Amino acid sequence: MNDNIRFAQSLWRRKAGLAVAVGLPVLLVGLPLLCAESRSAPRAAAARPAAARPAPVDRSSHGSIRHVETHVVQRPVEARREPARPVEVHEGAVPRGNVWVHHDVEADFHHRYFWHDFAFGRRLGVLPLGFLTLQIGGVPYYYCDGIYYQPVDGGYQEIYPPVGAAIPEPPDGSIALEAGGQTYYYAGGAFYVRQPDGTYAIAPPPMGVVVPELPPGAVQVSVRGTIAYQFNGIYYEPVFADGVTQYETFMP
Amino acid sequence: MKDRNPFPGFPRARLAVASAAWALSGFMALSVSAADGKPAVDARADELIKRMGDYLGQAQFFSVSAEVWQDIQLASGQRVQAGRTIELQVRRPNRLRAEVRSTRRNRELVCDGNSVTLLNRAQNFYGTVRASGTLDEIMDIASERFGIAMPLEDFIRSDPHKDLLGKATSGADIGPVTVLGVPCEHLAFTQDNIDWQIWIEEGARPVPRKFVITYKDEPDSPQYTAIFSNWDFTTKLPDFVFRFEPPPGASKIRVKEIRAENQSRKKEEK
Repeated sequence: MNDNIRFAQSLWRRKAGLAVAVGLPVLLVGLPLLCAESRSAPRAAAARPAAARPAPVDRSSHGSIRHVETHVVQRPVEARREPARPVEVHEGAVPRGNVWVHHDVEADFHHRYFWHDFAFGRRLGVLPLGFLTLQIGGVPYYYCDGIYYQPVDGGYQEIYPPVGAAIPEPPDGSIALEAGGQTYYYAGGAFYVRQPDGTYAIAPPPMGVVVPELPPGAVQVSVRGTIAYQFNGIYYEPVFADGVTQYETFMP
Repeated sequence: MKDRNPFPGFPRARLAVASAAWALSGFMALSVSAADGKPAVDARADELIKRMGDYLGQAQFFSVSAEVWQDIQLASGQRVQAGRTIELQVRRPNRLRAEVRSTRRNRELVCDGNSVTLLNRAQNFYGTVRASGTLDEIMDIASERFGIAMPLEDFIRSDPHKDLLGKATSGADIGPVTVLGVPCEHLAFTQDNIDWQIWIEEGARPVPRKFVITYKDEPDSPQYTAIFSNWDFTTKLPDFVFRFEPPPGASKIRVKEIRAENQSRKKEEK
């Protein structure tokens, strides 16, 4: 009996020794490799922009190893990721009113959002489903996904985004921009700023900020002999920024 | 039968632990030095990139076409591929013309030795900035001051070997393969945020036939693929090829310098 116990103890010791001899090397060899991998991982994570951060990288457009670390092209960031409606492929230029509005960012595909269909003064018999009711200075407004309405005889009319309107979250497809130390969310010609209560209010447009696309319905004008676009009293000058056509806000 | 213990007084299990730890300290040192050491680029892969780089860098002029496919993720999460073609004409030391065409855009970039002009054909806008020097210097000015990245810039520069392998952490020669029927050598490299592969034509003309970048640090690792064709090192490229003439009705617009913070960030990266 005692022999059996001694044999069992000896067997256990041998197994333990073998397990330590095999397991420890694996652990000790594996750990440095894991550490080596984790040394590069934080850089990768840091390079990935958060959803609400401006100027993300579109490195994949230029296909260059040399510029793989550089920030060359601004790509719109969606302040909200979940699309409320199916995504359509944009064909590069869509007539809106009397101008052609282009989206000349490097990406070939453009996500079309509800507010892209804005047409100033268009009348509707009923408001779109899911509209919100707003009061600005005691005046009633209605809002749905980036488009604002006011009541008119027998219906509602699409109006320019009113400064001061506050909504629970920026419209789908809004673009985060930094200007003067402030983050703006740009959509449909409106610049939203996050308020202390968590809502997003339309602020006066910052001047000198570059946006990747014109508001829908912007009208082509000539300012001192140069081409520009006008929307809701704000002027947009086409410029090549980061190598692609974008639009800088200005007041003549 | 009794086991012999060469170190009487030490229990066998402790002895096993001690010897394992001693042996593994050596393994650890080896693995750490491998992780921190110089890039492990296979000599054959390095040689082939050098050969290609020398061939392109020493060519006084060349033309090439490239078909580019780029993964794009829609807001719905669905991934699609966007395609375009690039026509590239290069004449050293300081001339370049690139035309990028797809069904949705048509853009041109012309460098005449003194300036770089961008043309957006869809909207008929063009803009010019002064930039002179060698092609390397002009491309540096374009990217650092104006955020303009030349299409397929890695293959235009004077020393592609240096620019391509500068940040590679590993590289291997995968072996021979054909690209659109052309026998090539397939090479694969890794660096911090990307993996990239290149297929170099075998024989006397070591030009790239295919180039793939995988962006590992982006969601779902999108890829950029360029397939090269029509390499031409014999047709001369006269001055008029690199002279920009605005199309009828084109409007000249400003080329904005990139923001100061971008420039300082690039300096830090250097």
